[in-house]
Amino acid sequence: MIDDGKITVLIGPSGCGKTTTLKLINRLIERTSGDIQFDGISIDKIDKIQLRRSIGYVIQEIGLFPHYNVFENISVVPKLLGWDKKKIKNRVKELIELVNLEYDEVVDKYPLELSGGQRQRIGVARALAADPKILLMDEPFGAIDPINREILQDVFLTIQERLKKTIVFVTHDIREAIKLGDKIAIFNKGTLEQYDGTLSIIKKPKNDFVKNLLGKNAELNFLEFVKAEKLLKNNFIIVKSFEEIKKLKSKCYVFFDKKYEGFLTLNDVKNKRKNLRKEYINFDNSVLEGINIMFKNNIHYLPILKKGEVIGVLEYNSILGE
Amino acid sequence: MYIFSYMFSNFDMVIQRTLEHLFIFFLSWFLSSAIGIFIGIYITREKRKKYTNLALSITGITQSIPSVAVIALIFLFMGIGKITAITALFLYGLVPIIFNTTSGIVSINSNIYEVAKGMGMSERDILYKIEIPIALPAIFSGLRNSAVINIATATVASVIGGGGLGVIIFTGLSHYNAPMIFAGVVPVSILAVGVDAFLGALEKKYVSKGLINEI
Repeated sequence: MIDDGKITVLIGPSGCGKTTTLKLINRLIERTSGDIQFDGISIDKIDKIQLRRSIGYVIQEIGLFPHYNVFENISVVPKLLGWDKKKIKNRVKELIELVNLEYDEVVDKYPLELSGGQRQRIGVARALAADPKILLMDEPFGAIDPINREILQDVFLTIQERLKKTIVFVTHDIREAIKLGDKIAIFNKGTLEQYDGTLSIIKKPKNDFVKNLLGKNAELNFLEFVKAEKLLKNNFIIVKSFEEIKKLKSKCYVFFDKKYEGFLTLNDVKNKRKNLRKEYINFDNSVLEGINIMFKNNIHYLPILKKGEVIGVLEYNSILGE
Repeated sequence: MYIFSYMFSNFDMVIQRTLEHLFIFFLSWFLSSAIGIFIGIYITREKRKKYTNLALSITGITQSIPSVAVIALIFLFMGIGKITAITALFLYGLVPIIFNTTSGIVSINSNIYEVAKGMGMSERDILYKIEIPIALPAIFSGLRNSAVINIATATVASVIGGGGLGVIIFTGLSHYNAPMIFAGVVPVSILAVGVDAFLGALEKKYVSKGLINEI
């Protein structure tokens, strides 16, 4: 089962069958047994060409057609589907902007004139051209340097947040899998070792192979990609002054009068600390950054702010329980 | 100006030989091109992929056979005359075109095919929209190569009755008549350079800018 609107990552060592699985879906390789169904219909009952036109396909860098410029590359599938010129033009413009590139700057360029990162963005834009429900991506960011890869992954996640496509994503990089995957399927030597939600896999690796693949820092890796707001807790009290802390009811007190001033923990109040702690974390920063701040300041709580307002706190003890 | 004396005093004859030369060249080269490109494409289709390398080796080797040898050989079978000359030129000109078309298509990156198929292109789409356009620089170099070889070889083909500018050159040679040799050499050179330049211009027009590496 591959969930609609989610990213499913296929991961494993080379030759484990992850790319083959992907190609079985758009029938670049035919199955010898079993079945693959879309909305209950076997893909064998759908015309091969039609099937492929309804699925976006992205592979490593070299997949752009060298003799087509950016416009022509993106418009391949719309042209095959017989869209009219105006519709194609609007769509191409929309897509180039979607992948954060400047339309006028890149539209007439050939793949050779683009940087690796730009090529990959155009590759994604091309796969999205005819608005397919399903997107198959085979190590799309594999050939890109680490810094640009992070940027592209972020762009990709923002796009996915908007479009909610059903994506099957092949990679051999566990970090990428944890960052992007809603679900992860782990392959080894042609067999599926484990298939589950990303967090479930991290918490309960099924066997040693999965454990090794995840590595020792899987939890921390995971927390790096979880936004602070996902783990916010409400066990804090907003106060305006020290006087308001009479009965000790909460473990965390946040000082707030129109704007965030700082906070004190229960221990601070007991120790009669008089100056406020000023640390905080933005709602869209990663939990790992939050943990880092906590370590530096030796605290167990950290207010989470959104547009200057406190929306909750990050609680050290509950993070690892999540 | 002595050297050009023959050319000017026999201007009509030179023009007529030039046209004759052009005619033999064009007819045989056109046939080579059409059939050569067709064979090149035919041999590279999916189900015949296993013969592609064989075709490349055969055409690779036959390219090094001297043109005179081919002309002589065809002469043995067909005797003297224009048809013999055209046949020899056609066969000889065929080789570089098949070779270049085939190697142009074969060298297309397999990722390109995979993506094209994965996007839902039919085999026909892939041939016309992907393979031919990407192989076009190679095809053009085959065509230009073949044209230049053809014009040169057509000169030699005059010895088996092909006619053309070779007649003037060989007569001039046998009489040790420099102005006469010149009257053949100048137009044949202009012809070769002109045709090559013309094809070069076509190539520039039709080959995608994305395939030119100098960008």
